Amino acid sequence: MLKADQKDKDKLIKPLFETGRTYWVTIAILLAIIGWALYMYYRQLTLGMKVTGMQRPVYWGVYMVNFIFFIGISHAGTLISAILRVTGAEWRRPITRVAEAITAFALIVGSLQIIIDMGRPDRLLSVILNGRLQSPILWDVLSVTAYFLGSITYLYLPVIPDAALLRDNLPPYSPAWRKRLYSIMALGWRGNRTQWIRLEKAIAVMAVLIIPIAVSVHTIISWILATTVQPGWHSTIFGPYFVVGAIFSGIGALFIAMTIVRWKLKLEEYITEKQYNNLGLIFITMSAVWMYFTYAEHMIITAGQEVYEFPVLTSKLWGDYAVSFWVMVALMVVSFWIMVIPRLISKTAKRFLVFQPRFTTGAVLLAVVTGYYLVTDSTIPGLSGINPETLFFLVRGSLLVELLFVGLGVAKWFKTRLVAATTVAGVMVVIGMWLERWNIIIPTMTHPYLVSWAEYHPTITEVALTAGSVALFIFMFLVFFKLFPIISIWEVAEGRVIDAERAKVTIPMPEASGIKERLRGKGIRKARG
Amino acid sequence: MHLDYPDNPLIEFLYWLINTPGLGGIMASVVGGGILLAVGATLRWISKGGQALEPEEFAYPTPALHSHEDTG
Amino acid sequence: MTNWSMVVDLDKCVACQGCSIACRFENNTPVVSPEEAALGRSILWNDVLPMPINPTEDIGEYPHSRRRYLTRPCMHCENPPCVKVCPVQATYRDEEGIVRQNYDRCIGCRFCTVACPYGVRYFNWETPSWSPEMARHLSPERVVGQGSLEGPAVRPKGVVEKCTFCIHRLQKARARAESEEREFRAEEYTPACVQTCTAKARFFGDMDDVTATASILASSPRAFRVLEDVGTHPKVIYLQEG
Repeated sequence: MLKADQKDKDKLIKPLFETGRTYWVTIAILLAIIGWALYMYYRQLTLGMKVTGMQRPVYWGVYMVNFIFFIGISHAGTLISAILRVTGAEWRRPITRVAEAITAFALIVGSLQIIIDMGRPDRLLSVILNGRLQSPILWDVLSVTAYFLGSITYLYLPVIPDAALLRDNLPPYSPAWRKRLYSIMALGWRGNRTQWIRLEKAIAVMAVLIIPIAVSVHTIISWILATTVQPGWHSTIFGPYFVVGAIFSGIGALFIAMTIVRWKLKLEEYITEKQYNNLGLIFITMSAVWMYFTYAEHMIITAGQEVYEFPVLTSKLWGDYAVSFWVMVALMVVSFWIMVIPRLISKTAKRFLVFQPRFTTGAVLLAVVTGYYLVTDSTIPGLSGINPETLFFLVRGSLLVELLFVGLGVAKWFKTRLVAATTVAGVMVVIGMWLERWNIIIPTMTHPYLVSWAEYHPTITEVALTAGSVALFIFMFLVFFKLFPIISIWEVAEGRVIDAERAKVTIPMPEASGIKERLRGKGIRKARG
Repeated sequence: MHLDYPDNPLIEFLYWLINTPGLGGIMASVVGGGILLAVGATLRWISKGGQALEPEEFAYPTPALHSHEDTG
Repeated sequence: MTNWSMVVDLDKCVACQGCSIACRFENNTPVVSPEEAALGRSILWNDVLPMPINPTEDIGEYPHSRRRYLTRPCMHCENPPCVKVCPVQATYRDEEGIVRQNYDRCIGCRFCTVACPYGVRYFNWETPSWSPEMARHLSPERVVGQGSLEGPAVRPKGVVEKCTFCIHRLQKARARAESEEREFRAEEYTPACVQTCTAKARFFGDMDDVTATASILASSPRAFRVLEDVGTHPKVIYLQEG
């Protein structure tokens, strides 16, 4: 009999057996959306792909965008539990399970997109029976299979001791089937030394193995596009660009999941600001790398101005896809801002006028007014005498300055609200990364070589199936975490032990002479006395 | 215009490898099956660890477990 | 070894689109509603395109504008990007250099349609349908080969189709030669678009035979290929106008 801590029992085990009304309402809503999507998919099966907005030459649309997006989200788990485990980042412990669950479920939903996108899903098995290794689709089948099986295992291994803990600590009112479920899932776990050592070894090996698989998955997805010769896709940057984007969007999704879980289950003691802060720093890095890649990708096309490639770029910069492109850029810049600037502002910033709420409110009002004049293109009273060209720059310049002040005020507000800032940034990045995939696929598809340029408008079928996919993802998440604790109980307990051990160690102050010795070691000459 | 690949049996073999329908499926099954087997064996190995004659059981990896690791 | 190829003399082509129509009746390409056609879902294995089809080059302003037309069958590339990306070998290049499509095996992933820079591949967005009068006059030709469903056979929905250089005509010509117990000659095989061409602008033949008309024309200084720089090595050769 394994005994759970009273705190873990109250905070992590009890919610598994007590279901509120909100939970069932959410499940019902999700099921309704999934049902709608299923009906729309049935329509697509019977009527053919014509119910989608896809056409010639836009042979791939929202389904492909969703595919890349969801597989990208799935990189959350690998990053958190594998990379952080290998690098020995202790703070990862409370969020590993959420991250691994995102991985497994996003992979299921992502792979589903391909089946939805197929003209003949009944011939799916043909990919195995007649699979040709030259096709990037087969590379994808290989790497996604490996990744899926690997991440399911990686999700399951740490569940074993928790399942055993649940088996032995069930509340008296729990139904019998749950006891059976946990007994099976625990695989006869006793928690003796040999088992613990073996489990840790298995997890450590998996952590190392899953990193290259994860990198391969999103590289190969990018190669589906990059191995073709279509304008804008035939680029070597796509592999690393997609991997970085995947990890980036994965952290974004993780932030959202973390915050909801923390808020709903009141897990402030487990998921602390430390997790938000440290993960936020990785997030900032990924954001910077992502921006670098985005800039590099577009910059090279600008410099080349190839006849077929350049129109793809211009359609993003000021053409049909300008809105989705610039919204994406704005989301990324703003999310970067609210993650970085609050960290730079001093705690005593309130002394300065620009950080005071009344100043920010004023800037917001001014920006709204300037924006109104800009959008409606109306004349500004009192400024009619100014040369229109000067006015052009004046209006845009003042809007920029006003937005800067708004940004500073907002940053001050976010300074003391790390969780809020991080979650908002997470939401922005998830949306921004979806748009990024859209901006990669659709402009190239609509600007082919020898077919007239086209437009693409998703239909209600595609909207339904996208909504259904998101709903399915959340649904799986909710069901899984009704059955298993949201936080890896034993890993967090282990973390507590390590923290306690560390607290005992005291580092003696180095003596003055010792410092001198060390300086000499670095080649600094000893002062002549 | 013809494509000039060197007339090399290795290159011909590699082309056969990537161009033959079915081989991809076999490869996928080998990878998938291999992983499943490895995972199954690992889980069995962990489960079998419970048969070791050790009286102590740890709900969590406690200091007792860790300190033993160091000495033994 | 035979290497079937086509030469189109753009000086002779009058852009009448006869080739497109002949192809349609020869190969049973389905008819779509005007609404679907507006979405770019019509299927034309052989299409006649105004060039440049997109504003990628300067054509001048009326009345000093320059308009050209390009009739476009499948290029039957030597390095076909569509064949390389197909996960199930539903499309393949046969020993005589013809890129074929097996409707029986196609899974409808549309990777080939995306990979082809010429846009010669068409997806069946719905079940093909014809008006009753037309349905009675569908071409009964069939292809016997690796794919049990190829060429003019009526396609199911959700698969990709493309120009086959009327491969059923090649099989028929071969069979006839065999039944008459004589050698098959390359001249006996002509695709429908070549046969119907109003201006006799199209030439078809075996590129490996240096005496064939197509082969001689291909070495003309006017000869060029479309999108030669994307590395597909197209096998349909055009003769420049002017």
